[in-house]
Amino acid sequence: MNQFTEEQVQDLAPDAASVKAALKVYGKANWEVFKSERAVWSSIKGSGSKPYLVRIDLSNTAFKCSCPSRKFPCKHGLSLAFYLARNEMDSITVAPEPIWVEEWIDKRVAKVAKTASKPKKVVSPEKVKKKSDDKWKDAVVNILHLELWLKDFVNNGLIDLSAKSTVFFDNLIRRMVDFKMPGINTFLRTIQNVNYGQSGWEHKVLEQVHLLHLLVNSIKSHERLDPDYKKELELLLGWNIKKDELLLNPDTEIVDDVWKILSVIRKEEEGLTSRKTYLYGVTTNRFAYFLDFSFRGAGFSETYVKGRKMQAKLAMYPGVHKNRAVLKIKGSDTNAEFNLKPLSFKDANAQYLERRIKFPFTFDWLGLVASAKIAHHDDKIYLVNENDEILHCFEMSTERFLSVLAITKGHWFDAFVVMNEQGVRLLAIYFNNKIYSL
Amino acid sequence: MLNQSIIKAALLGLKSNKIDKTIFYPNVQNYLSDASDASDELLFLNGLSLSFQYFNAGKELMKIEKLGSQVPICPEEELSVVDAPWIRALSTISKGDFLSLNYYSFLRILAEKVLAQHRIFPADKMIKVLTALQEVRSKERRRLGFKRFYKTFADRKLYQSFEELEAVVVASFGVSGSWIYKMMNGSDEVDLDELNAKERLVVFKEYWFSNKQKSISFLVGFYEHETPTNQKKILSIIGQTLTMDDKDVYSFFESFFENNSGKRIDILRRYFETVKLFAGLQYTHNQLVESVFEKIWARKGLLKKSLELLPAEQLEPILAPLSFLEMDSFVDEDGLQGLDLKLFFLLQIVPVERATQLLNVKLEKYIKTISEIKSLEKNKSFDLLRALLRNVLKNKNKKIALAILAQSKKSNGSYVELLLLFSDLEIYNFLEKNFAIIDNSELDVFEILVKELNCQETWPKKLTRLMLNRLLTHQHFYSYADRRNQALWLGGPFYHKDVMQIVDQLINLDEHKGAWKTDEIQSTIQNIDIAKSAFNNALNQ
Repeated sequence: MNQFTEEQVQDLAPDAASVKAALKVYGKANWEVFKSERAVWSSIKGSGSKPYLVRIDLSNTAFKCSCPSRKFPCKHGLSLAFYLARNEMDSITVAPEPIWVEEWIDKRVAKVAKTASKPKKVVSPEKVKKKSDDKWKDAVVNILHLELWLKDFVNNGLIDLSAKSTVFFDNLIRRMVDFKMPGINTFLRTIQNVNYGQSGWEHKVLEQVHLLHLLVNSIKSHERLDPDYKKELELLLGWNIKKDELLLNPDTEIVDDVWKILSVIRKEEEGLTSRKTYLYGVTTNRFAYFLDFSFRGAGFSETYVKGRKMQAKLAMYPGVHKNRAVLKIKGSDTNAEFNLKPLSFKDANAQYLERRIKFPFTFDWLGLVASAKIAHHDDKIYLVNENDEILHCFEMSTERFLSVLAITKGHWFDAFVVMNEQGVRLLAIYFNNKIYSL
Repeated sequence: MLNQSIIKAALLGLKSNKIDKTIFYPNVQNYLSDASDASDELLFLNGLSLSFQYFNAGKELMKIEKLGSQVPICPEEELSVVDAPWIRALSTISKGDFLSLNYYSFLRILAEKVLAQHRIFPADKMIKVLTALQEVRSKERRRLGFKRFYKTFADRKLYQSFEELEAVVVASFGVSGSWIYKMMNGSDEVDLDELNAKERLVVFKEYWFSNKQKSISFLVGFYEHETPTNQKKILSIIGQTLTMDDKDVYSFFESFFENNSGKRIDILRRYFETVKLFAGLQYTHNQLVESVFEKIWARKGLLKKSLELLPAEQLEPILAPLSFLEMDSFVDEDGLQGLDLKLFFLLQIVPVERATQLLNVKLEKYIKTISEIKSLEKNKSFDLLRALLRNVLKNKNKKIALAILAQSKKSNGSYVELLLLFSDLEIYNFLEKNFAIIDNSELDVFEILVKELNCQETWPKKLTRLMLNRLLTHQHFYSYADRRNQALWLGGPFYHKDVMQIVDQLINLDEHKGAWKTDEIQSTIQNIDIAKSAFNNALNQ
């Protein structure tokens, strides 16, 4: 059995260049790898006079290397991971942990224990409420600018929209930042960047106009809103909750489960890497995702290996969806039985629509759909059920399509999906009592 | 979707156009009626939001009829990974003369996939696959297909050795591989636009021999835009089996030549006439052709006594009966063009017995004369004896085959492929009687017997002994490399320990001696004697 697959190692890399560099190191290194129950380590000759000391924490995947690289994991760590992907664990020599491994692992174990036993500093609920009330009070006043702008917008019509200079939007966008409602700009930028050459552009613009209109009304009548709706709206407006704030808030929902890491999706834009890690609680049937960022390959504080399971307590962000989460306490990677409750295509679609009707700002719905096959039709890839009902799989590469075909071989499987306007994004599949992350 | 009235209202704006709530869906209008005193902008924005909500609420799942049934369950693997059709496919690819791009691109995708992650085909099956394909690979590894294919991936350096990479690629075959391929492609349709010139030619060849209709579509769609080389090669492929019944092909080319002109097209036109000539000859394989053949043979007009071509004016009347074949195309300032080709073709199609009867010559004389006819065209030379050989192979006439072999026994022995007509025992008997052929043929006999006839299993031990004996007693005749190769070929079929020992000795002898020295000959002979007896013992066991 191998500790990693090559794909998992590639997922761990901060960027594509690191994979290339790691493979180069892998090819050149004169490998002498040792293991204990807790870790794997090796020394790799680098450009410095002394070899670099590389180690991997096995129980709670993490890397450390003595090289000066600011990337994380560095190419040496990744190359050791490649070694583990290409060599059976059984073939690695067991040895007593050298001091540099032992100290590091001990420190990590102590840190986890400390976090778990750290006395909780409860934030005063009055303080939280006061802060929130102030924000809403300002919002109700400031949103009138947007309301006025919207009225002008529909009065003047869309016909000259393409001729409008960027200032038309930029001024408002700047104002929304000043008003501390930067989240609104997502809608405004969508209108600003619409492709007028594409048919149906009017529909796209009007959809954003409709959402902005609902947003204005929601803010104006915020006192009557359902608390969850209001919380979700706060996130939408860009009023982010800091991690510590969320963890220390006594009202925060904590979900303790064995979480299967379904998928890790990275996006790079102007040096900023965003990482969305989708998780599935195998006993609670809850879906969650972490959203974190890394700037210029600095790496992420936690390592999530796609396909692994980990015992963890997640702190869920409040709101309608209650999917976004942060890690509260991470245990070891583990095994646990599944307790899946997949939905039929019809029910999944109904649930998504219901959520959308109740909260029109629902963009993604996370769920598990039952009994699907994957099929190729007119250059598009679909999940299809026995009634020939289809869900279009967007952003599905040939590689992934091949993978799903190869795993399922034409049998029915359950699919973990993110459902939205475009169709579904396939995160993982459940087949033969096993979850395969994609 | 929003209706056109809503979009129109939104485009024009509300400033100069009074909002009419009937533009919204009736259900939406009911809600809007409660807010009749609202401003136009508010009415529109509310209507818009309600319309979107109304539209979203009613979204139903789409269907594609029978899509689910288009994904059948993959058949169970009979072998662990590899099944016979795929081994055959791999073998075919590796031969290089059938470079199916479908398989090729499929391999590429699978290989990339496997390289990226060991998921589709588990690594533990690779060894089995490699073993299963060892035979195919060892025979064909130097051929085009593998070489080209491997190179692409070897560059990736994801694997330390070539062999590892090969195992991974090879492991991509199997029932599931085949099944996935079908799922991906639906059918074996090839997108010709995606292929390069060489690949298109392969596809055309496949079409021409398996599906005439497709090949006509290919011609109609692509011929005009093909590269000049491909245009010519396509004609050559067509020429192999064109018959007078292929009306569509004739009409395509007629219109092609009618609508195109230029020097290049003229060359193609002439080439097509040749192709037509062949088709005509095949079709009208009759007295007329035979009579012309007779004239050519009897030198009544075509050839001088020296077997060289007569001047064009003397040739024309003789060729008149062939006028229906548009012989004009073959006459230019320098005389006749393509006569060699015609003779070559005639020799191929007129059965030898019929020819000798017509010409009233004996078989041996016939063969001898053919082998002596000088080439008429300076730049090209046609091996007329080879035409005869094809004729014999086609008609499976062993008697004539033996006669040709006997004629060529002092030549380079390149006609030994005629042995393909014989049984193993007949070959053995023939070789025993005509040892000179083996002696003169260098590696050809071995290559053909061992590689082409694939007779490792049935090769008589007696023949092995005969061959090895020759090898041992004619050391002076062969270079070191030849000796080793031959010895290995001989040893190869049996992999017998003792035979291989002899082979080793031979190799050692050659390596160390280089030139044979007088004082060493004696000991060498002794060694050989020992080897001989060891070998004889081995064979007689």
